[in-house]
Amino acid sequence: MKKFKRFLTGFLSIAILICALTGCGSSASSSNSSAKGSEAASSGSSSADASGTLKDRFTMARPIDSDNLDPVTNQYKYDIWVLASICEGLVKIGDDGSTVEPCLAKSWDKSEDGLTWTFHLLPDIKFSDGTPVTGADWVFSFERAMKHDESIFYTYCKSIDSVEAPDDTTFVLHLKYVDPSILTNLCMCNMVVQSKAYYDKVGEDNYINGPVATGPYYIKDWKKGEYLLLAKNPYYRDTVNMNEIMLKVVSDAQTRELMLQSGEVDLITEVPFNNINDLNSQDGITALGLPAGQERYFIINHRHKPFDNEKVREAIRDAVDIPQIINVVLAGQGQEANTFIPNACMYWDDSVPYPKRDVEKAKELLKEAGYPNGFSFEYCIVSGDSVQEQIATIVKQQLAEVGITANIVVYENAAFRDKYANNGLDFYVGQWTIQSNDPTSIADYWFIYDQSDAYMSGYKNDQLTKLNELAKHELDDNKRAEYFKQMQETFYKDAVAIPIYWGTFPIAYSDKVKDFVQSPLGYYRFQYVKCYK
Amino acid sequence: MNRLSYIIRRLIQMIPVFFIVTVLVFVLIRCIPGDPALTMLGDRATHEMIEAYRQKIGYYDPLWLQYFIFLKDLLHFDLGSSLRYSEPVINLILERLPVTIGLTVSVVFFTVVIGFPLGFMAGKKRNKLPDYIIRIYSLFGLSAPQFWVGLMLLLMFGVKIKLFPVSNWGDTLPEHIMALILPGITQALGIMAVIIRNLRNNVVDISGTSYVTFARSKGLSEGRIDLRYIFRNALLPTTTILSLWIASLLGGCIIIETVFNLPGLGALMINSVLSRDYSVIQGGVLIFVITVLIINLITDIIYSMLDPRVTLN
Repeated sequence: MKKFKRFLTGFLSIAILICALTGCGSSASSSNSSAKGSEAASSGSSSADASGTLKDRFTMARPIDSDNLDPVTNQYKYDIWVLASICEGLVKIGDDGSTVEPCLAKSWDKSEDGLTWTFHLLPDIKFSDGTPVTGADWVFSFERAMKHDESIFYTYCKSIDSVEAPDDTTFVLHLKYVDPSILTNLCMCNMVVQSKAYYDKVGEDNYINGPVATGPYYIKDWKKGEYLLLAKNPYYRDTVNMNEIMLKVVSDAQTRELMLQSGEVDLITEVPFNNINDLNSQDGITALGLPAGQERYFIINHRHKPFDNEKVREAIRDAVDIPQIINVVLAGQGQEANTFIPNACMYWDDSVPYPKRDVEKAKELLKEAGYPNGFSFEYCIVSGDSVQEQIATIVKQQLAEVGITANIVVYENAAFRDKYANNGLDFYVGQWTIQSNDPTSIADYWFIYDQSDAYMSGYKNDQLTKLNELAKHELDDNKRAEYFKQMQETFYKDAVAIPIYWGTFPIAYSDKVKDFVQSPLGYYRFQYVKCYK
Repeated sequence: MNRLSYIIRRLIQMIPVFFIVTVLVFVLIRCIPGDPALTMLGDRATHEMIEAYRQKIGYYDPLWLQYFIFLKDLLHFDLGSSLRYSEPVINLILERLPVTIGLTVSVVFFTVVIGFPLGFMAGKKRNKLPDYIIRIYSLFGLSAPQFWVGLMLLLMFGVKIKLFPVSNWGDTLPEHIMALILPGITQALGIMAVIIRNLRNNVVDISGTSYVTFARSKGLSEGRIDLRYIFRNALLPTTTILSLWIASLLGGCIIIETVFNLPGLGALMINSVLSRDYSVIQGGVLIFVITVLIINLITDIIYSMLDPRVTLN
């Protein structure tokens, strides 16, 4: 009995000691230098040491699972990004996010009036279940995309009047009007070919579990909220390196990092920006921010006083210090933004001024606006979003210097959306992640007032709505560029919102991983990735 | 009253409690701000799409009608379908319930196996070195945040020693057990601190009672006195505390489930609240309530077994 008690006493003491030592170990390992990040970034996502035999499975941890893998009715980036490795359309966005390339259509012609597009399809293409792709599958897929009333991507096929497939290698689009964005729109996730037979078999309700399509991978197993397992499509016509892609859902960022360190996963996404340097200091791990077509803005509600006053909005723009936000919140992994169009898009205009801090000018503008002593407002953020929380803390201090009091109010996600939809937010950070390099959809969101009340800001400008419409029907690229330039300039002049930064996709991966590609539009190109033993 | 009729009576008493809870959950979740259509469809949905979705889920139906539909389905053991996952709620819960129950069993196991002997030893060695060490540990267990303890254990046993997985629920029973050891210890460390302090104080109190002195004067062995007279009696209040902890564990595993990435009910419930997935919230809460009621019943029965003076009336 005495021996047992001694053992227990000893065990307890050691346990306490171990806990204390482990804590020390963790902080010690985080204090090393962090030079590796920039090297890795400059050489893309490849690493030099990886060689040897490929593993059977590449495992990646991400914070949120996909919800709906129906190419037409899905809504979130976590769906769209994965669908890029499962489905294919006539054309696709290049890996750099800026070009349109042939995909299942090897070439295409358009009629003189620009209203009829004929696509010549690759022969002998098969779905992942081995059945051949037929013209009927193409017609079914497009008609579903065009007519589905629950698809948020309906705008991308608004110009299509009808489709037909004279044979299995020819597909024809008839447009209602000339649409300069049609090729980029055809790269969207909703305009991909899917097996009609499979859809008929499982029905609409079960189709959210994913289609049978022609991409490099198919869905092998999906335990929602836990993991999504993709397997190599045996009928894919091109090289695919890994047999399986496992996408684990790990909501906690620290746990994702520990899983990477322990070798349980090969790559993690959405690394907290402040941890990038720490991860880079660890052997065998590279962390970096991949270029992303993602922009954050300060959205100002023009319907709430005093934000109806243009000078007040300009004063806020002059009071905020964007570089400080990028350095502190993103650890430098972002770029200052100047317009509502992310720089990964066509027609982005570099000549539009960037917000630049000028405290004296901001005070002057406030005086002119009739608020010499400043004012107070509600700065609304979503709980649990650490980036928003950090930005709010910094901006509160910056605005205080010109006499403006930002009262930070934290809303839980659903309550925030409720306030958003009911015009209840004074000031908040909005985000746009592009799905296409054509800026039409962003312009629609800002300038088709009925669609979103200009990001719920209440801003309405008929001239911009008209310019947006003109841009949508203009085939001359120079003229289109001019329309978008005018939109961006007016956006700045009216201080509609304040562009903050173009973000990055922060990832970390083992040095055994090579050629991981996530395009600036977020699409995963899993067919390229190699993961060595 | 014999044990069986007591159990039957208690089960019947649970029915009104259960229905009161259904009303509360149903009304409360709809009182907080947040529209499922807005959270499900996202920012880019048009006004028409949002309206159509609301119509589809019966958002505009009167609350009493929605409740009666829910109740009618409930009587057919149908908890409805998840808006987010488009799957029957019962399937979602049944998939995750074993993980949460497994975690609870693991926590109770470590609490009992480590906490009970330590609490007893601290009480017997009052104001001696083992008592001091155990009390220091208790203080640590109470004050150390669980997520921190969990991360430290993961760092040490998952990353450095690689004895346990950082996060791998796995497919087989041995994999599940391995995945539950570290979370079980992490959660147990906090509960143990309370149990140890409580048990220690009980042991100290009971050791000084007249019936223990009498037993000793009768010449009973120390081992018998410790086990039958002190430990058994000291367990009574501790059992109550433990049962309350177990009940709270079922609903409060979210931090542990998040840190160790366990696919349990806690994470499902939080995600459902955030996305206003009403059916899942209602179903999950009902399962919690039933479980807590059953745990209370079992506790009362154990209580009567530990102390013959306690009758099942």
